[in-house]
Amino acid sequence: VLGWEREICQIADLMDPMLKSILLIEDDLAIRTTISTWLEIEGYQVFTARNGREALEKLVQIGRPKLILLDIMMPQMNGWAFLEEFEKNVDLASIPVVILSAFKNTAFTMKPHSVIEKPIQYDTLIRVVEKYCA
Amino acid sequence: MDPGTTDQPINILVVDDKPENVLAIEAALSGPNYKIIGAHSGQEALTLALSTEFAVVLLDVQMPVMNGFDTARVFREIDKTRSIPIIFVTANHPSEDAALRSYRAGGVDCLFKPLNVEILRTKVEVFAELFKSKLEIKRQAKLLRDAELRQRDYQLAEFRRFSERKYQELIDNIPNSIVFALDPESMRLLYSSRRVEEITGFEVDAFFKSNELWVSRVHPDDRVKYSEDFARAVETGKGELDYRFIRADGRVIWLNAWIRTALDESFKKEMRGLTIDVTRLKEIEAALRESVKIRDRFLSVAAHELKTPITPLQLQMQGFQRVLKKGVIHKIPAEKLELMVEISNSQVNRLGRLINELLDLTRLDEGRLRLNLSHTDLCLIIRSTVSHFEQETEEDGTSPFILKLPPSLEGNWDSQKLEQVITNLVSNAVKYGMGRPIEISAKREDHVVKLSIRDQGIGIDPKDQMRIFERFERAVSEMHYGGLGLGLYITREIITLHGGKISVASTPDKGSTFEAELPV
Repeated sequence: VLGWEREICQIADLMDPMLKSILLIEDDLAIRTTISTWLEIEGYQVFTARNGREALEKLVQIGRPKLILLDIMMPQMNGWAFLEEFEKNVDLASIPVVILSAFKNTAFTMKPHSVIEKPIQYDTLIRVVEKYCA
Repeated sequence: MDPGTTDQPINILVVDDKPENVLAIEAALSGPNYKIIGAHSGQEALTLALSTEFAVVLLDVQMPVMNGFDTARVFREIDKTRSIPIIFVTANHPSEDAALRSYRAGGVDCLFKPLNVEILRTKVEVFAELFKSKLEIKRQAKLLRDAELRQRDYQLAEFRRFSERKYQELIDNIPNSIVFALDPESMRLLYSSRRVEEITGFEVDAFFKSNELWVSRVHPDDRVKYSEDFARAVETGKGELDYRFIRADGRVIWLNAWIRTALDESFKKEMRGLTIDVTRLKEIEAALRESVKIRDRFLSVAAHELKTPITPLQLQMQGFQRVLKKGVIHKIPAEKLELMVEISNSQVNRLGRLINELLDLTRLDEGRLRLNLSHTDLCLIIRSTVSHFEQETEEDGTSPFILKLPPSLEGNWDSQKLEQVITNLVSNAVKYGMGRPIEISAKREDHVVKLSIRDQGIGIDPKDQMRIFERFERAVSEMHYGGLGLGLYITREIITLHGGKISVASTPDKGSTFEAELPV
């Protein structure tokens, strides 16, 4: 785990905006705001989308984030539907996806993804994010 | 001896070693009333007396070998002959002494030779009459006994008939059950209680006429297992069968049968059994299983719903813990800290609301939800609820609310419960409204207040419009939209408790309008 001050310094040092960027796809306002705010405090650049459809649009705008944090239960386009579309796109399919889910049986995707179980532990979130954004 | 024929001649035994004496008495007593049987010795007399009934014995005293007194003694010693009256006939001169000796020897009287025919006839007649009376009494007694026996037989038969009828009635009246017996080889029906008609819809005779009818009505999907189970039951002597049966009217019922082999009166094997119509039980079982499934799904949804507000709360707490430990909390901008606290607060409220919803569900299930009526302004509730949602949706980029309300709409309602109703309806409109404008209007018409909440979101399929007001129901998959699936159920119950009603009009992809009426 990097030291707090070092992380703050790193934000300032960031030349490439996508270096520590994360796309968070989550419909719940409170969860979305909380995760994005704390990840920003931890020194990440966080893009947000409220469902799968918005996320696909966002990906067109922002390019390739280092990591996608994906909720499953969402209106309009849920996590599974997003993954299906996402994995079809060869440009995007290599971006690691970590699923955030309150349901235990989430083992249903074409390729295996890490799962962070809700309610989310702060340390777990940070550890996973660091692993992919290092 | 037949006691019914008293008019037959009466047997008189005459014992004398001299045949001419026997003949003389026979002549003296001749007539249709008597049948004289002669014996020429005591032994012969005994032999006769053992096989034939005699009214009286005329016994000569002076006989060789075994004289009259000896013979009489033997007569008295034998049960069969003991009660035959004996009149001694003696050649002695009539004397008291002779008579006395006769009595001592067990005689009832004594006649002296030469015999006076008149006296002989009179004395024999007395014993003949006595004998006749005795016969008559015997006959009457037998008649009486026969009559009693017949009466008892009749009563027994009657009782047997009665208890058989009672058993029959009992068996025929066991609800939903058929008692039956089958020949295991030919499958021929040997017996069936009457309920078979009610349960199968067929006349009982139809099953007696056709051995195949029953099997042919077993549900095709269960027929193989039925035949296997039955064959095994025949083989092992007992078994249980559980299968569907198609009634005469086509309705499918569930039957459960217990069968065992038994031997009939002629030691022939037969299958006896009890078939019970368990359709109702199966239905209850299915309903129970379904409700357990619904309950389980609900619990999983409820757990998910409760975890959702805990996620931001936990992240906030652990995040703050981390920055506090590192002593860097001052580096976090104040507006971010404020936002965090605000979110935490709203999540605590959200948890509280969820728990209240769960409690409401329990109260509704137990009929314990009570209204706390007071003077209430509906417009005030709508405005404050909407402003709360506006704060939340502002950041979410959702649509504006359009309110079409008079300054106030007052009535005698439960303000807390109405707030719950408005919150549920507005949050649905936000949730399914696809970010498009939501119109909320209310107005008074006569003695009711009409409330309408219209969104332009995903809408509800007509087939789902009925069930969305039911417990745990939702028109859309829980994989897309959260919530306990209780909101509209609780909403409808609260409105119904107020004496009002609620309905929905909706077109998929165009939006939904919920309209409620509340009596003032």
